[in-house]
Amino acid sequence: MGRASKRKSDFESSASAKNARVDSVRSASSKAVTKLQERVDELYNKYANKTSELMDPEGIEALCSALKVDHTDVRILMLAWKMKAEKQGYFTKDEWRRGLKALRVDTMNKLKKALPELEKEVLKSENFENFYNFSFRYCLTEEKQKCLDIESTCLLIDLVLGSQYRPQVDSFTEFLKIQSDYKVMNMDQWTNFLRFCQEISFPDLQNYDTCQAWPLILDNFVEWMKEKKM
Amino acid sequence: MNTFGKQCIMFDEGWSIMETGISKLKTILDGNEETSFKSEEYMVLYTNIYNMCVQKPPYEYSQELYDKYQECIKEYIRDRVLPSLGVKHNEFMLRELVKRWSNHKVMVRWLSRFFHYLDRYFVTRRSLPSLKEAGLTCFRDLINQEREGEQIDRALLKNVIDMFVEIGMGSMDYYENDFQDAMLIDTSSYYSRKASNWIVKDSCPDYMLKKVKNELLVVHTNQLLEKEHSGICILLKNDKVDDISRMYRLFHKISKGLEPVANMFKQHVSSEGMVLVQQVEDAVANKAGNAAGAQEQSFVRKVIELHDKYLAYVNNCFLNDTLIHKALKEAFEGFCNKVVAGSSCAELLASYSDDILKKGGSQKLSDEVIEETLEKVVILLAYISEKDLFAEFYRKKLSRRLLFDRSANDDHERFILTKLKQQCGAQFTSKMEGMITDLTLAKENQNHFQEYLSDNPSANPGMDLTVTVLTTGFWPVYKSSDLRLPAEMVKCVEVFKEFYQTKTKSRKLTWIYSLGTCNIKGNFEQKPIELVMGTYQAAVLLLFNDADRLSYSDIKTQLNLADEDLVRLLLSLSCAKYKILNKTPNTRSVSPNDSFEFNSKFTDRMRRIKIPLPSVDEKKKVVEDVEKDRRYNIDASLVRIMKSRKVLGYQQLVMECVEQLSPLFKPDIKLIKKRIEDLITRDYLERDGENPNLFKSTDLDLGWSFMQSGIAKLENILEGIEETQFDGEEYMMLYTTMVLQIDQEREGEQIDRALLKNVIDIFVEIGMESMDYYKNDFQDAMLIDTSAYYSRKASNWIVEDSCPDYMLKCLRKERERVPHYLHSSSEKILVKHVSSEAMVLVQQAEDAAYNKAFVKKMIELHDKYFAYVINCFFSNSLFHMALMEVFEVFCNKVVAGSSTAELLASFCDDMLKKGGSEKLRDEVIEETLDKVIFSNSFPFEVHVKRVVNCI
Repeated sequence: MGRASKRKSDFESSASAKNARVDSVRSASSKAVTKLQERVDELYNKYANKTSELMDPEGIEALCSALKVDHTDVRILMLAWKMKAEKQGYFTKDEWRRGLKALRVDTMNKLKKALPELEKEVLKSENFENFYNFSFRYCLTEEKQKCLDIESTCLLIDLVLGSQYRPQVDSFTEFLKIQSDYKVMNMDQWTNFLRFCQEISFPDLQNYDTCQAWPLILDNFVEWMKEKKM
Repeated sequence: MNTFGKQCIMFDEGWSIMETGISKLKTILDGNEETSFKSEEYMVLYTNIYNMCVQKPPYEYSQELYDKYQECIKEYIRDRVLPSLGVKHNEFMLRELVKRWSNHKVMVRWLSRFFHYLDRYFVTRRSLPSLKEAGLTCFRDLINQEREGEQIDRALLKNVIDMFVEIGMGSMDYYENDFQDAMLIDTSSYYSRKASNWIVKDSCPDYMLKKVKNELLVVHTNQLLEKEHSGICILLKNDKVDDISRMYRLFHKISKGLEPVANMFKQHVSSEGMVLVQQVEDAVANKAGNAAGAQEQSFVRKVIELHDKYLAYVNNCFLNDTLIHKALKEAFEGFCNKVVAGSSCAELLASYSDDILKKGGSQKLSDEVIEETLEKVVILLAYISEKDLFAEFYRKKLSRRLLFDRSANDDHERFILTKLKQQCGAQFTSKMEGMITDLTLAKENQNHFQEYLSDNPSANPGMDLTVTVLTTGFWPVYKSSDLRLPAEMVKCVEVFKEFYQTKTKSRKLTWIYSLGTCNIKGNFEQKPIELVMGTYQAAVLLLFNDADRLSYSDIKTQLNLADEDLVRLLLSLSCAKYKILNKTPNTRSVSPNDSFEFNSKFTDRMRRIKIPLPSVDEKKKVVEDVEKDRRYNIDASLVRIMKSRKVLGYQQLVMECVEQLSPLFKPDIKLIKKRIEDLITRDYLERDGENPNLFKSTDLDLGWSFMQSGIAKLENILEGIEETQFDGEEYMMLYTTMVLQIDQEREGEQIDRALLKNVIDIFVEIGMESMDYYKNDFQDAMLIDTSAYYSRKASNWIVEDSCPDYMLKCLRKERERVPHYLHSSSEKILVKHVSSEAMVLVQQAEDAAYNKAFVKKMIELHDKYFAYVINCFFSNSLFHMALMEVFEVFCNKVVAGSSTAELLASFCDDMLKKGGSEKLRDEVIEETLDKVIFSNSFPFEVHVKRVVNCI
């Protein structure tokens, strides 16, 4: 898989390079574009592994310290979302280009300044769900992996929802650590927890209806909450 | 007239005139005088009234007259009517009443004539009730009083009521309408008033005996039914069959009248049931589990009795009313699904039937009673929602009965299976039937083994060995341990393996020593004793052939046993009734530091003793197994539903799932939800993006690739290349995909038929042959699915032409293996197939009305399948029976107006007579006639003679 995607990206980058050449002949304005691209690529190469030419976890950590952000910061996850990064801990050149182009930045400084804007963008309701679901998929590192272990789930939930739904996140992570029925969580349960946060009044849980199609894990959570209250 | 000249008439004076008139009227009414009033008399009276009314006040006596008039009528009734009514009874009284009533009418008419002026003038002016009305009212009031009359005894009261009912019901014609209506209203209100009194005073049955109006029943239904001393509960309790029947007759006429009755009935039955449950609970609690088994047995027996009793009520008293039936069902469902002293009713039923079916059970019953009781057990099973749990427990018990030769009667075993099959479907009993068949086959196999041994004397292990080869899927899962067998037994195992390999190639035997029994001879000092014990126990004892004394750890390492098993074994040999081994120290429990020695001093008065090994409690395991099965069942059901519906709301999905599984068990909603979660993880379902309460089934392309890899794996397994196994999830994927593909194919989608057929072949082969390779989960589910699939597909194919081809192919394939892995479904399908072919022939014959050809074809058909039975199925008795049954069915059909017997006879005739339509060689003729007789032998004996005569 890893090798295949690399081959694929190699192929694509050479193809796009060819395109870029053709473009430059065609118009002058595209020259500026090429220039921009070069700067973006330069930046990528600075952090990419010299032998694999891929930005690996080490490179990303270096990038983070350059940006003065912790590598576990949610903003890095947001950056990955913007890049539509596929594999956790790695940014391919294409992803890098895609992300920086969308952010309209080509230098470290600009990137640093763009981060707060990016955060605002992500938190917009039309984007957040997409980001939220992306964050789960992004954490599935193994091939055919569909579930995330509870421990990682708790960390991830705290990271992506903590700022908006602190009480829900605290209770839910507490519950997840106590319960023994589930060792992993799937995408559907993940998605539905966001829906839960958005739709259900908390902590009274008045409008929660067990007869609805909520995943059982949330039924159990609600039951646990109610028992705790008594 | 002379009115003007006269002095005013004083009231008394005037009234005395009236009184003479009235008394005359009375005598006329009493029938003492024939003469009626003359007009002069009438005139006098009328004028008198007129005068009294028109005189100026204070001499205007209208009011007084009016009052007097009423008083007069009352007086008459009191003095004459009531006494005369009082002395008469029933019908006579009624007659009297009728007479009195008509008299009364006459009297009132006359009186109102006398008082006509009063009526016209005074009454209208004062708007008082008209005289006539007043007169009638009097009559009514008085009778009412009479009704309430304190001095009147009950019998009289009853009579009056009877009369009134009769009046109310039948004799209305006698009355003028106004009176009648008033009377009716009055009667009914009086009656209902009275009724509520009666409910308090009277007993319910009495009350019902009275012909009460429906209205009354409705109003007082509940009060009636709940009545402490005579409500329905008491009736039920005291078996007042007549009263109950009466009650039913009364109430079922009222709309919704039966509902409360049904409710009470249900409550009553439930509470009786609960009493039984409580009794067991108490008994078990008191005796602390000592006689728990017996208690549970008697519980089931009592429940059966209870059911018998109330079913009889439903049938007899309630005339099989559906409402009451439902009530009975609900009541039993209610308490039959309670946990009784830690066991579910499913388990209790299973052990109860075990007790009946096994040798030396606690009940000694005649065959008929046994069958009857078994039938009742099956009926009770209908009320139990956890049928799968029953099946598992039953299977466990059945396996004990079969393997340890404790089944008392094979016919009874088959009888209850037939009943279960009728009620719960073929799938329910397929494994159990498989077990019984397995045992039959195992006996045949043992014979072959004996032959093998006598043919190869060198292979003989030097001791008797009986091996029962079982098909894993049918039987409960047994733990197979790595017991290190004594050398003598190792030889036995090897010999049998060798023998078995001569018969089959790719099958693996797993030895389950825990089910084995050994007879060994103990050479004790006093006398040798034959010891009957389990293989494990024997293995322990045989160690002492080589050593006098062994420590616990020695035994453990030599036998390679787990501690818990070993402790159990040693306890049975050294601390129980028979002390074959001496333990040091001599305590009552076994610990790892103990050592053991052969007890050569041991003796017993018997020459042969059985050393029991306490069995481990398997209950928990059975329950666990059932729970695991349920998960797979729910998965399969959910996927099936989603496949056919594509998109479905959550609630509906759950509902359909519950519905689908209800013949087997009642799935917990939470469990279903959990399975949905799981299926989502495994990509079988997905949640709709827009509506979170909606689920969609995922595309099959994904499944298709699983299928490809699955087939590859299956082929590997079949080839015996790999010791590959499927895990539950893989199986689910494979199975579901396959079923879905088949469904799609049915729906006409373009699916590669050849590929599908390939897969099917593989599945069939797996289903039939190489089960040993699979984990039990896979196998069990697969078997059920295969047979379900098989029959589904078969029914398809039977419709199509390809069926015979398919069957032939199957039969050819099965030629070698079927006798060993006979699956009940294959027998069924064969029967089905053969009969369908036969039916086609019958049809053909009917169409063509060409009788001779029919007989010929029939003989051909018989030849063909008889050959199969002989060659492919090794003359297996089951198949023989199947063939016979099939032929019996269609041979006894009337073909084109002639019975088959007749056709056979004429066929013989044709063959024997000169110039018959066929020219055959002698031996062919003889052979054919032989067959005619043969095929004739089972269906109709009467005609055999005829046929023989013909010959």
